[in-house]
Amino acid sequence: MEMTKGLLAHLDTRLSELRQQKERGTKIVGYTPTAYMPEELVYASGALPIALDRGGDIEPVLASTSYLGRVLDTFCRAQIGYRVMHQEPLYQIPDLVIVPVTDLHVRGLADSWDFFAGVEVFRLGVPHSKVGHAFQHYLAGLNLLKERLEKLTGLEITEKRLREEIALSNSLRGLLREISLMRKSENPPISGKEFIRLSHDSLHADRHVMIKALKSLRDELQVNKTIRPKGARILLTGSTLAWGDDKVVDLLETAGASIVVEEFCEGLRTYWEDVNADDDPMKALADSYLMKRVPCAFFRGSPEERFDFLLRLVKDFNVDGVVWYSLMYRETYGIESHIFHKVLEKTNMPMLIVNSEYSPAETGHLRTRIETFIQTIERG
Amino acid sequence: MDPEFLNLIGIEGEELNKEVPRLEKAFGILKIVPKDIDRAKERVSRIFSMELRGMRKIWGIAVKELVDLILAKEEGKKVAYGSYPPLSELLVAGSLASDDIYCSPAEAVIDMVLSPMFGPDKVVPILETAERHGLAPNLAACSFLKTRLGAIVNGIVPIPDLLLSFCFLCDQTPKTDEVLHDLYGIPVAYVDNIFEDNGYGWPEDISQERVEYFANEIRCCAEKFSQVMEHELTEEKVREAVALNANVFRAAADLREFMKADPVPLSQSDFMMISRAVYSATRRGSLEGIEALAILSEEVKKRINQGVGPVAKGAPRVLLTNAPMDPSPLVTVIEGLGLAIPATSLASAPIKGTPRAYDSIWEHIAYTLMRRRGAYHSSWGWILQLKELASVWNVDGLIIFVHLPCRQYELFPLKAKEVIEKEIGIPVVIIEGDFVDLRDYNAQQTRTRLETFAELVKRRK
Amino acid sequence: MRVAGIDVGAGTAKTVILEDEEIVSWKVMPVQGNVAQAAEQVTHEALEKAGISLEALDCIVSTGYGRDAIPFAHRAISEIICHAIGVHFLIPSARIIIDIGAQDSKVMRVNQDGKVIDFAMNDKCAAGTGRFLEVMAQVLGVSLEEMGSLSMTSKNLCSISSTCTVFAETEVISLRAEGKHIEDLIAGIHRAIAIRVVTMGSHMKFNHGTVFTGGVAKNVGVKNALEKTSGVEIIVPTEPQITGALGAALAAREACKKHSGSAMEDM
Repeated sequence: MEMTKGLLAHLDTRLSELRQQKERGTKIVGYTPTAYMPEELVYASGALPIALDRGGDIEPVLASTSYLGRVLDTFCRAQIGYRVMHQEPLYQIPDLVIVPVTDLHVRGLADSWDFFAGVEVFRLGVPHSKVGHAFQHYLAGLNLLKERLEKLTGLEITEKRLREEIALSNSLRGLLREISLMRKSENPPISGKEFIRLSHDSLHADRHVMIKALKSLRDELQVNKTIRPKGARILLTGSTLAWGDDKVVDLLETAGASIVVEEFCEGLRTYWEDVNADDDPMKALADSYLMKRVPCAFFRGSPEERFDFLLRLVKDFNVDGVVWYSLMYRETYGIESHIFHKVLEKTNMPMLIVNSEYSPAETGHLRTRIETFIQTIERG
Repeated sequence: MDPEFLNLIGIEGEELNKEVPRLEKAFGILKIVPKDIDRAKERVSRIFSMELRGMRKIWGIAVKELVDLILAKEEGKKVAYGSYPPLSELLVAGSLASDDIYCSPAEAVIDMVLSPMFGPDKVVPILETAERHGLAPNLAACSFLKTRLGAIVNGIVPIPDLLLSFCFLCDQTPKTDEVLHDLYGIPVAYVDNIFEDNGYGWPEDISQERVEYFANEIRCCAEKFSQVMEHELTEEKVREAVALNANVFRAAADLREFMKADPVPLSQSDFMMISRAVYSATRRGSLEGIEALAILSEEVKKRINQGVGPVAKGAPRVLLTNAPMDPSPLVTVIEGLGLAIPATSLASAPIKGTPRAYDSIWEHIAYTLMRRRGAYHSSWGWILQLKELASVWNVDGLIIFVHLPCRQYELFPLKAKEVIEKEIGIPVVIIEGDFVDLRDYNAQQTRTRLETFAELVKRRK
Repeated sequence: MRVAGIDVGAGTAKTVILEDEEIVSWKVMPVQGNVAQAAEQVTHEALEKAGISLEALDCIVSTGYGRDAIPFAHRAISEIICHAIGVHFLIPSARIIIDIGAQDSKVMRVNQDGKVIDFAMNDKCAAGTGRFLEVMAQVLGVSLEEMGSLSMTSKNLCSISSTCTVFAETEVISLRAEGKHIEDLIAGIHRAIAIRVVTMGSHMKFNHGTVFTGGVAKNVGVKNALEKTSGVEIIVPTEPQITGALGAALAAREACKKHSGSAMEDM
């Protein structure tokens, strides 16, 4: 796409740009993108947030066995691998790392960085339900985070600044939403892989550049009438779709499928809800990020709400099949995929469950399973 | 019913009339045949000190609790299953709530009898059933939870009226209960906690916010229990249960002290069985435990006077974090190598500082749990507590048994090893395995690791 | 004083016969299912070579996977301890020992007296052991013995990343089908083993004084890969496969000296 060339150029120099900013005194804050860390808070403090969302490579996973027990989610364990191997330069620049501690795998991630990474880790506690005291607790955690950020940069996070940042982030979310929803059409103007790429880019790029690029792209796509080859319309869902973990997406598109919508708790930017900051912006953040979000699989009693949401996506995007992609050992998603499979069976919607631990050796049999799945759908 | 077997599990006198028919019915449901009973007699006599009347009473408590569990619905009770590790104070209150309620951590009750008494193979069909219902195969998912799911699906234990999902330690528990909810429509009450502390300041830094959150979760769970079981679990009742729990703990104080003797008078196989039978928040454990402990105290005192124990006097002493429900693959091997095990992680250590006092019973429970067990607070809390235990028990070595599917305990044994070797200066060995699932157990490798470790420890002495 | 050390692993059985401090004979034989039989046979052959009878032995110590199944051994000692003793005898400057056998791999740290201070063993998996190499040799249609020299001709190492032997097999088959050269694949296989083993022992800090033993140590390609991965020079004793049995024999000597006079059967 023509419009994203500018974005690509920007991302090419992003690392050196960030390093320069750091030299000039700007604080860089890394965070695990589990969708529970309001980046608006980081921006409002004058720091720059960087998502630590790399995945898809086997070496950091192997390297991590020196630090963590082996029975742990692949993405979560790989993070310390990336850090100690110095394989991903972005991982070396944060002055502070925020980990929203969601389940025990992410807790393991936080611990491994605490013990071995040599950088300060701030843990943001994420409750596993939406009851009253859970909201209060999450809000209290956000206030602690606010204090820590203010101390880091020396800049007060005023309500005004926070509202401004929320508006900007809403802008970004809204644009992604608009573009994503275009895939409801019979002829989606953008592929799943391209959209996922945009989502990952939005976690690393300068927001202003990103918003400008998304606006241009949206305008272009609205008039773009190129007919793309029709393939099985797929909802891709699961635990984590990391930056660099392209295997399943590539295999699906090569097999002729069209990923029309995706729902992942980690690795991608969530964009379904905006933050309504009319009143107390801190409460608004807590409300949007915890209460309004679709609960992740590690929420207690998540199936009810999550499945409703997934079934709505299936209907709205006219999906032909669901591919559930979990990483190895992430049992909350593994078990939930089993229950969801039974739910879908009743509706005759085909579903494929695949696992990965980022090993290149999986490609062979993953390809066979995905191709068979897509071909079966297309044969109707 | 084989009278030798009944004698072995301490069922005698008046109890016989009441318990034998129930035992036979329950064993029928478990499909236990006479050859199983023979095997049970051989195993239990070999692994545990069954010449002690107290041990026979302990086994009686465990077996009778299992019978109570299996026949609960048949005997007209409302049934609630807590999960394992239990939130003891709450669960004990539930188990003592009324004669018409049966409440216990079902998987523990099943595994602590089936596995050691009839052999780990007895549990395999249950594990396999669970693996067909969404739980990952082999050691990727917890065998306790597989027991929880598989035993219900296989019809060995009744479908409960309520599931108490203690997920303040574990994410797999609530997911397993969601499978059960999906299969049978059973309501679920969750108790959650959040691991938002790095634990460097444990236990002083247990945050008030976290105590409150946890306390609220416990309170909500008690409310749900009251609602579904149609029996009010008031703060008063919970206070009584907490007090009773403390009594049982105090009754075992002598026994714990006795383990400091040289030679250690009891095998850790015995001691772990005692802890499991009496402290798993079961009704039998709470009500009959104190008597059994009293009998044991006397018998162990005699052993100390006679200078008797499973390992010779002067033997090196090691701390073992935990062991499978059938302790023989691990504990028997360790003691056979001439290493005495005076304590496990279940033992308490004097934790520095004065505990905070709370008016609210819920906050008291929440705080006490995070203070009593470092692991309930954070990974570093677990390591700090291990360090303290190793120091207080003055051991010559540490064996960290890792239950592989447990994201709680299996992540940082290497870090714990590093810290303890450096700061306490004793050798540490890591043994991987599972509490219940021994299908992939490599006895030979475990033996090699333990033998080498024993050599290191003995040399230090 | 004449003693024997028998190391019965999953793949091979080895016996070393010592007369005082000298090795008078040793023998290596494959184990074909029956460990007791293999132990008996290999000991018999070693004794024949030495010209001694079983009764002439003052003490026999067994080690290795099958050490408890040898009725004529007086004592069984863990192979980690025996390898440490054996290596210390041959190379007193050894401080880290890597042993890769047919079905397990170990890393041990020893002090200046050859006493084990710390150790690590592979988890249940076969990847990182001799079995891994065996499977790969079969897949590629080469003999185990050739693998070392073949890999040394590799110019473009082909990375193998599967952590599981079963998956690695599939990976190698498909890479071969893509036309990758055999020597490059073998180099990749060796590297995979090296990474696995070095990671396992990473908390022990490899340094000078690293010795490599076990059947797999005869493979110069694996040695090479270990050196590259660990960053230190590695010594392989002339007969790396018998260090365990040698250590057992030396342990037998020690035991004999301690109990000199009393019957060995009491052990």
